[in-house]
Amino acid sequence: MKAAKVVNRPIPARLWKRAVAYGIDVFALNFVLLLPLHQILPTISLQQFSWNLFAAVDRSLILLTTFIAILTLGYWVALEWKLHQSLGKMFMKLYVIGQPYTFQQILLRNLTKPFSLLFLIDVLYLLFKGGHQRLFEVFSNTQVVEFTWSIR
Amino acid sequence: MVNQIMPEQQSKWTYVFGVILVIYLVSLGFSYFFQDVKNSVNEKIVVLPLEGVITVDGGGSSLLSSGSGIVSGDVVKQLKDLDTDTSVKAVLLEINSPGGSAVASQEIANQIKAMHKPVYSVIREVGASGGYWIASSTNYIVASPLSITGSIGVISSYLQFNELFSKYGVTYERMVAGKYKDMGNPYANLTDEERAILQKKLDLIHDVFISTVAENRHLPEEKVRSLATGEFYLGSEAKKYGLIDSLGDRDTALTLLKQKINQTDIDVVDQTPHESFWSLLTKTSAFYFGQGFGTSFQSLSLQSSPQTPSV
Repeated sequence: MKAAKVVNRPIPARLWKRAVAYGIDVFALNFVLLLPLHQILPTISLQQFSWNLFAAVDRSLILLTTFIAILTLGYWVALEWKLHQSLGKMFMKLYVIGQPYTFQQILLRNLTKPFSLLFLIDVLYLLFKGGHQRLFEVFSNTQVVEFTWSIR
Repeated sequence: MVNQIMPEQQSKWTYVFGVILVIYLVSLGFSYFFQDVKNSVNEKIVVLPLEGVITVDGGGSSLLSSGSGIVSGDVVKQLKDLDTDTSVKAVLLEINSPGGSAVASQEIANQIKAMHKPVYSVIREVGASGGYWIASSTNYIVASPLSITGSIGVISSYLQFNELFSKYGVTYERMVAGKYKDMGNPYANLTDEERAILQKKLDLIHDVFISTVAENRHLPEEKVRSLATGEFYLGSEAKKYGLIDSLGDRDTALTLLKQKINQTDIDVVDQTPHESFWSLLTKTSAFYFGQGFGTSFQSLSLQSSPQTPSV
């Protein structure tokens, strides 16, 4: 007779856990990223913002949003590539896995994070498709998982 | 499986803390330099202060100041840079100058006229003589009703020391090759002939000044000549004579300039000289080197006249 073996195996992360993890990340990122920038934000002229891409907008607004986008992307990529987790995922005990697990994949899966509208589409795909992956997780062949103990 | 993808707990937190710290420091650095970066990339009106006596070389420089006043070479370079900078849409010259070298004034005025973007000027307390020459070359002049403007004339006066020296038995030993080489020397009286020659030179410069102002201000030359007695005019008088366009201050000039370029929300940036540590260091060395070199060269001076005609 074979002895029973206790193993932990990955299962797709539950949605609420992912949402909480994302909330923690956004809070942390806003704190470290926007705290030093709070003095310069009022100097940006939002009156000049226009949906017309060819309008003469305040160029510093473009510079600032690009800077925030790069650091936002950098936060998730740096943590998930090295640790398989972001800060929020660490608290919620979630992990990113992929086959193979490369820098390019991690970059691709996080590409929508700095852009609210794109990220919304990314998440809506997950909600309406009923699966466990965002659209860019499908593209990058990665998944967020949690571990559960089971007996074999 | 978990152990395969999980680094040590302690090193994991160290890494997370490191990433967050890097992001924080980068943001801090970015916010520190943002105003400079913003100024360099945004479309703007640049306000260039022109304050003091106008010279070609900033004579009278000291260790920690590159000479008070307006140095034509520096201003011409600044204007050229502003003209080629596509983010600069217009320039406002904030003039507070009693005048100075005719050549230096003309150099600056010529560069202003060569600009490809609107250049307005606002005369603060004084924009007289050479200061007015520069202002007249701009597209539009604003001055306070109480500003001192005009003074269209040329001066080349100097102190005459020969009688003082003769009291103490000091005499001037004249040794020249060329009859008029020491004309205007403060140690000898002018002859009638020399006086006539010098006056002729001043009249020539005066004529150039008058015709330039007439051309710049689109006024009949005779009218400018009648005003060009060397008299200064208050802003309110200058407006009446057509020497300036509007009465007002810096804000008035900026409002008019914004209307001219149809950009009411555009940034306004004051151009102030940046002194980096390196430039201060090199300037210090250059000052001491130049001072020593200049002192040794002084005795062999090839000066043609102790006084340069000023406007």
